Amino acid sequence: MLKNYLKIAWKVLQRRKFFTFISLFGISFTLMVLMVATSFADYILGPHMPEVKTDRMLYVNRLKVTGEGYTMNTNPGFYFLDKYVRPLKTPQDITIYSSEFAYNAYVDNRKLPLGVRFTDASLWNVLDFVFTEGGPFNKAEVESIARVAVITEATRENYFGEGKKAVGQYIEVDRTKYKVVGVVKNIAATRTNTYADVWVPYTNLKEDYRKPEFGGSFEAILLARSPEDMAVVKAEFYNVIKDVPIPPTSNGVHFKNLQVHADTLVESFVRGVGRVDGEVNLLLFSMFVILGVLFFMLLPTINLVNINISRIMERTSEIGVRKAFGASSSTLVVQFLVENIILTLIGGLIGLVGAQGVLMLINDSGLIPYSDLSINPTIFVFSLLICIVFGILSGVYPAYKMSKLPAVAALKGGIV
Amino acid sequence: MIRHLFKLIWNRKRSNFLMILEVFFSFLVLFGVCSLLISFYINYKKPVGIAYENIWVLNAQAHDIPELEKRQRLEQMVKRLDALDEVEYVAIGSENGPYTRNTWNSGLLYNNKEVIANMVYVQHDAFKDVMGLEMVEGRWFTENDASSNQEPIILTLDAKEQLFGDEPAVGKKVTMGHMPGDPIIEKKVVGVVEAYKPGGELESMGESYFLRTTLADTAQQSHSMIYIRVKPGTSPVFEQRILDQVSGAGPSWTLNLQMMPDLRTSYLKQSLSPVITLLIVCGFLILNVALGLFGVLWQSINKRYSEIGLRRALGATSGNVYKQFLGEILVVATFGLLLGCFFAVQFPLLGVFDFPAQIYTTAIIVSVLLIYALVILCAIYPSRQAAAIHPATALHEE
Repeated sequence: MLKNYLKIAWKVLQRRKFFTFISLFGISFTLMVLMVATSFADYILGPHMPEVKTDRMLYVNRLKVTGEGYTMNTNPGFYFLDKYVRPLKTPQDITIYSSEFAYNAYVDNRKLPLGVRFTDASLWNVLDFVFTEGGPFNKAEVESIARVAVITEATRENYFGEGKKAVGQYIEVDRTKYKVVGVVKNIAATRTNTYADVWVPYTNLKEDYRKPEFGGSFEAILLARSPEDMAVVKAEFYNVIKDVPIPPTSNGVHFKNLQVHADTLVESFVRGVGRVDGEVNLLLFSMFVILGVLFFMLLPTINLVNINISRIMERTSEIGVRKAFGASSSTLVVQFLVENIILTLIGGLIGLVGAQGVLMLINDSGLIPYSDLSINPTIFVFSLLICIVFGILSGVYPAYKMSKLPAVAALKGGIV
Repeated sequence: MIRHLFKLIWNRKRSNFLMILEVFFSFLVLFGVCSLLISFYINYKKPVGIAYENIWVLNAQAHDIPELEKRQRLEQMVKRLDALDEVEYVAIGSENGPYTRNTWNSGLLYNNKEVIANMVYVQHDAFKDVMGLEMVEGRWFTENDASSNQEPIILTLDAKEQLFGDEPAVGKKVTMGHMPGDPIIEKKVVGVVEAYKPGGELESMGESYFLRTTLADTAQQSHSMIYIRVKPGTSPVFEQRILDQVSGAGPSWTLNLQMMPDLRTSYLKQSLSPVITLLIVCGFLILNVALGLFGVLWQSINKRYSEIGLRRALGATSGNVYKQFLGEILVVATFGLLLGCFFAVQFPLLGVFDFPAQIYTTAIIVSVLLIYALVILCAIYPSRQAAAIHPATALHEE
């Protein structure tokens, strides 16, 4: 039965090449855009090096203090994180590191911009960097203010030259020489919470990071023991934050309220995009995303429905014959839906190839430094799902319309 | 004729419904994109006023040294840089420089009129020459301003027009926006510059004002952005020399030198890439719709073969048939556009997104014209085919 449908579908596709082209063009482009978008979303929000254990990680990277007519939005400071977040009992590990500092290094009269993070030694346990040379620095080195650094492969290539070894050599950042102890694989710039070119112990920071101020330029990641443990860690975190004494005044402003959050990667993203203050409502966010996708798919769908109706009307006599020989309306609907899904799947395949091309183009263009976008199995399954939904969406109405054709008129070939 | 066409479409509204819907959604997409592009264009037309090509920006942050020493060191840095042959002008200014993405907005009052503007502190009078600002009225800050008992302020033309209209501004007194309870600060306008838009080309706010401070004036906060205008054609190698000159200041300084053209490029890249993505996607959506309309029209004309034959046999010229089909599709488009305009006019009426109403109206007009152009383009070939049908063959087949 299905084999017959497939055969008919194939023949119909070949009959009016122009229509097939229009349909395939619309389908493949729509699906391509959706696949590229999903791949981007996955790249920003999914587990990727070095944030592999995202299901166990909570990010503390925003701090908001409000007073009378005064709001301060900043990163938390080292003092705050060290005093209130570091002592938490439930997480397996906690890392505190600075946001990205931008410096320029000069190599052979060439400027090399470097993003530097000042970090503790726990960073190497919480995050999963891939070391291609040497290894991380340890806690003792951080405490003794050792001038050591871990750099990325790209930095090694730009600073020391192609194919050279870096471990044991010195890199100069902000007029301080650091000894390279490790080289890690490049981090994509879309990893906004962890991206850097160079990591050095936080004790090397020139500014006084121990100042008793809540705001500053640090971030923290809490690593829970298991994904189920996340709620426990969150509860402890908010319990501690609740009791943090709010600094009375600073620059003559009376502070009243302190807001710090421990968010998962997705929550942290939504908080940044939607400027959410309280609890992040993920359901609402997904609704927005789904509505957006539906709105984008609306126009191609209407277009496809329109074309499908035109194509069906060409086949009135075929439908009449089938009806006269006893095919029920539902059989015809199923047949047409199968035909349409096949068409969509072919379009999806073209779209997949196109999406792969676009992603490769983006990787090569250097639009996102060190990006390595690709279509992974999750995205492939997801796109397959999109294809089938799209096929059904655009096939139901024309199929219904077709099945309702009166057999007699259809046989006569009359216009309905 | 037109009434007749409307009747024809209305009678077949069910089969035309999908086409109307398609036109409607295409219009909404076009309307959105046009609004965005027009607002960008309007912003782009507002001059930036900054000759960014040969400006280098040095951010010199001091850590843990006394304020007085910091000021002395900064003064020293400026002197040393000024002495270099390749450097034309040097000035320290506030951190919200062009393309830095730092913004400080503050209000300015005159006669109960308020304007929100970029607030720029100028610590050296050479700032005007570094940025290449053009005066249109009055003068720039001078040494004498330090001894004057009236604190001077300089406005951009945009800010001046909002506060004073066409009247001259020089000599008038404005007050700075303030919190309740704060002392009111009065400033005297000494000049108006043509433009200064630190937010860059795509920024809408062209209102800025400049305040003068000096490093010697310890009552005011000191700033740490050193803006340097180098001679045209200075090689990037010179960067290292600049850093050598200023790094003598001490180890507790963090120095970061950037070139304004680089800052501008990265700013443009970041602001334009989402827009270009949007344009490509919308372009393909519209192309998709165009191809679809073309296919459907072609198909429907094939279906009405005998009708055309009959009309031709009864004396309609091929031109008449051509006009009828073109007219029909225009009427269908009009139905979709009426529906679309109904939704689009809600935007200026309800004031969504803070865009000026004029942008929305222009966007509506442009999108309507684009949709009409699009449907006519799609209808020309099928209509011509319909017009070419020979009455004898059409009737014979029937």
